[in-house]
Amino acid sequence: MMITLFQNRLAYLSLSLVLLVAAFPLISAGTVHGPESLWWLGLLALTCGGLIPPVQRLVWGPPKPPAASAPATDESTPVKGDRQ
Amino acid sequence: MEGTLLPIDWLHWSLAAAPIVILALLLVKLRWTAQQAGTTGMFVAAAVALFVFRTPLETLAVAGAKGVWDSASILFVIWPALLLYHIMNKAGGYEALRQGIVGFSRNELFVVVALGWVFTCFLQGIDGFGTPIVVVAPLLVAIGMKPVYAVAIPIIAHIWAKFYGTLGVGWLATLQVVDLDAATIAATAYQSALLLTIQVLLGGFTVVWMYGRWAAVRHAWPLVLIISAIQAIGQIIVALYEPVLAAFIPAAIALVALYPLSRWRRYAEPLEGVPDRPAMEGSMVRDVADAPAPMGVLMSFMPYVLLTVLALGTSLIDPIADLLRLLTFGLPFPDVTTGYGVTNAAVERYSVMAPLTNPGTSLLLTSAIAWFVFRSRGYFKAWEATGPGGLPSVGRGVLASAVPASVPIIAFLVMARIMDHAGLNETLAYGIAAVAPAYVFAFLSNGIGIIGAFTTSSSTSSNTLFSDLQVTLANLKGLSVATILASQSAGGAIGNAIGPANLVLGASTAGISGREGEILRKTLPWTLAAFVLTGFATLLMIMLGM
Repeated sequence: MMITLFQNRLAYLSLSLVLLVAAFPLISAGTVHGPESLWWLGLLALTCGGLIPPVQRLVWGPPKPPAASAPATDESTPVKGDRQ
Repeated sequence: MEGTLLPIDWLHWSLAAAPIVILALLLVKLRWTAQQAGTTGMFVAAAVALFVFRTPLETLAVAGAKGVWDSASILFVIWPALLLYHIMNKAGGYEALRQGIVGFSRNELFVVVALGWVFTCFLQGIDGFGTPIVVVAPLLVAIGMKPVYAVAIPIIAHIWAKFYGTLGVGWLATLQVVDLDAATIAATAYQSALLLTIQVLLGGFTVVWMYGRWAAVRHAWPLVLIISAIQAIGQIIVALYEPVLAAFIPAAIALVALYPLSRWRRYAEPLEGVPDRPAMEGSMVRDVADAPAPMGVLMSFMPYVLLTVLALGTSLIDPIADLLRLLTFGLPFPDVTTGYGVTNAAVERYSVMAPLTNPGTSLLLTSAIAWFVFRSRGYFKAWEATGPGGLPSVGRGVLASAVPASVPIIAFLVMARIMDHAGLNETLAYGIAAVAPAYVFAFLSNGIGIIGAFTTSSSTSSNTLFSDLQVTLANLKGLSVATILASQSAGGAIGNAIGPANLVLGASTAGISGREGEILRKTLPWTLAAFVLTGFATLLMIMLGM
């Protein structure tokens, strides 16, 4: 399941985003009102969310070379598609 | 160094710079994506803070959470901006827009200047948070510009309007963090506008040079000089009376001036004699008849006119702005400190955000209206039948582009906040001041602003972080406070050209997410040139005793 997750760019970045965003209220609430475990949980979420992109890079290697090297066929350029 | 417990030596200075250096290295040299480089930079900053700058884990956690919140106002712009982009794209709006622009002027260079420079600056005058970049980049792609240039051009072009733009938010933020008398305030306003003239001229000529190198400069120099005069002199004059409008008024006048300039034969006829156009993929005036757009020109401009009206209405009409400011969000944070005595006071509501006055709301409303109008008129179906096909649904398109853009923006701002809370930024600034004699410091002072803007991707944040420190250092060195603050303001604006979050914003709406390093390679030389010129100008102003 983890492998499938890490091979889907949108999926692992979405997980990373959710974890990073979740850290904000957890740390605020935990450091101001407690319990302490809450901000530790927030720090853990921040760490895990931040680790996902570099771990993906280190384990699965760099993404495929962008099609930009051949501008005429750049599929990543949305408006370019309009002219085909 | 007086006034700080932080260790100011080469080792600590180098380690404080490590997050920035590693981030730049990963992005530019190793070509990591912004998501990978940004999050790695975040961990490097945390490690340096924890192991070298005696920062407790609780302080790191609080800094991290504040960084996440700092990104909220930017993410609230980029998600609706991408929504508008995908709605336009799916309805054939960009094709219609391109055809309309061709009808306005058949001179491609004039159009690039009008959209990439003048319109971008107009948007910066009223909106901020990267709105000009996310709005203009896809428009430039629509007229046939290569995506990397389509992002680099608006980024460079709107730099001069960063300080006084967004209705003076950078200026107002600076006044909040420093204690100045009326004469120094007036001198700072004037000298800041004077230094920003460099960015106006350098921005305009760079846009033209990027389009078609020296042949384009030879063709467009009168146009650049006229627009520059309006923007630069206008900014200086307005800054003397009402700094809040110092970017908006000249930017709006420059926009109006485009009409008579477009009637000038030199810019009304198709461009000739510019053989090398490295920024362009094709010709703007190509195959219009072969690709009928589903909507008319006026309809394709409708969302941008609406956006402008909404932005102006919510900013300039006080009763409306006051009403919209009633809804605010912000969470509390406790007092945190480090082993070197860098303390951040407790706040009841950190960085309060008023979402209804954020440009994101205008963009969201514009997107909703555009979607209803386009759908009721059948543009989506028409473009699906006659257009290129294979486009994702609007919802999936927004997710696929906004999620990859959001992660690095959060990471960059978490990194920035960690550097701030651990005292890394102060170490960098004090280090520069410690080794530099007064005149060298004057030259380098805008570099401190650049560092602040690079780490936070915001000129306002750079000024908030460093203005007070710059005043302290100016007094220590016996330099003019107004001139050094003006230099900080100029540097804070310049650094946005390499601000990673700005690169991500543009890359996501130009459809080149992951290629931020390529954009940085275009904007970095400009940033260095602006830094050196601003440094010399600051030095000159100090020597002239301004």
